[in-house]
Amino acid sequence: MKTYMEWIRTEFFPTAFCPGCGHGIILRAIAKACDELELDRDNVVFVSGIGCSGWIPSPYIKADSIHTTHGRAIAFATGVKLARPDFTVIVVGGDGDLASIGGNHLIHAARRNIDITCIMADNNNYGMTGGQYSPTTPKGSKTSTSRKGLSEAPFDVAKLVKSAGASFVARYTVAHFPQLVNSIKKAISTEGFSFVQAISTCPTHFGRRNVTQDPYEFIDYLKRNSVNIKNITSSAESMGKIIIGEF
Amino acid sequence: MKKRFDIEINHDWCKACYICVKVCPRSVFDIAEKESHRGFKEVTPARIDDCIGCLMCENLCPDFAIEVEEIENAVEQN
Ligand SMILES: Cc1ncc(C[n+]2csc(CCOP(=O)(O)OP(=O)(O)O)c2C)c(N)n1
Ligand code: SF4
Ligand code: SF4
Ligand SMILES: [Mg+2]
Repeated sequence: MKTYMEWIRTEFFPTAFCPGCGHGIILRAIAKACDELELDRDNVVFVSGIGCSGWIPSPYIKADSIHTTHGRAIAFATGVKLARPDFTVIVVGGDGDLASIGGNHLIHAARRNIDITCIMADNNNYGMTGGQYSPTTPKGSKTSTSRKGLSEAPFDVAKLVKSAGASFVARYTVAHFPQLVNSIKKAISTEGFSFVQAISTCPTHFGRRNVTQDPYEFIDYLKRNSVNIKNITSSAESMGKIIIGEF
Repeated sequence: MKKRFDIEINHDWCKACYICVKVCPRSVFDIAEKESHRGFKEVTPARIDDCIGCLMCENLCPDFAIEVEEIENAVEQN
């Protein structure tokens, strides 16, 4: 057995996620990061809100966790950090949970540069409730609430959090597994507010309507459609590429 | 000496998404023709000797159903 499996509550397996859901890959990335950093389980607290992404730490990570109400994970995490500044506090949430209903908590935690790590499992829609559009849904996407294509432009959440004052900001996709693990390790090790936007796959809703329902083809699409921030050209962003790297 | 690997698949956790089958650069896996008692066409590491231990299948499996382990002190087979 790999040592990172000691961070997983396998008694709840198989997971509740749909077949091929990228959230399971993010779960592994977090477990691997905690294992490689040799964190002391007794001093780590995970906090999550509502959504498929909220299930990543609770129940699947073997550490203390608080499964809070929709959008409020960062507020609860702030309380944990105030009470126990010696603890490593890690929030895991979705694009809906952290950027729509919880968007204000996100920007103000970044502004205050509170010493917590926040991992956003971003699948570009509200997976749990049937694939409604979220603040990260790309313009033109078909969702259950934008049947003819979304007319709004999304937030660039990584840039938003960076400009609000976060110490560390990175974005990778589930197709960039080693980089994702590395960025989570850096986020946890950095003092101040650290944010990792982990682009995930929801084959069931977003994939089916916009990319592909095939889990592998979706991951391959993320790989082909990403450009590292170091190699960015002026047209990359306007061409709808996913900009990955540290911001 | 060629490295050799052991691949273990947990069929109770696998949901047959087939990411492993498609991501493997050496086409190690086969998909069964008949469904298992869980209603899935199970994956088998049919060409295990071709495995190079890249861990793509293990790392991208969302269900922790694959484990690739190097066989220590593997004897060269001819
Ligand atoms: C206060 C409140 N409003 C709305 C809901 C319904 N709801 C549950 S999950 C969810 C969105 C989840 O989307 P996201 O955070 O992106 O997570 P995902 O399922 O995509 O991983 C919503 C709106 C709720 N549970 N509570
Ligand atoms: S609805 Fe989407 S995000 Fe939720 S478990 Fe299924 S594939 Fe994953
Ligand atoms: S470790 Fe790499 S080569 Fe071996 S089975 Fe997995 S994907 Fe294929
Ligand atoms: Mg989502």
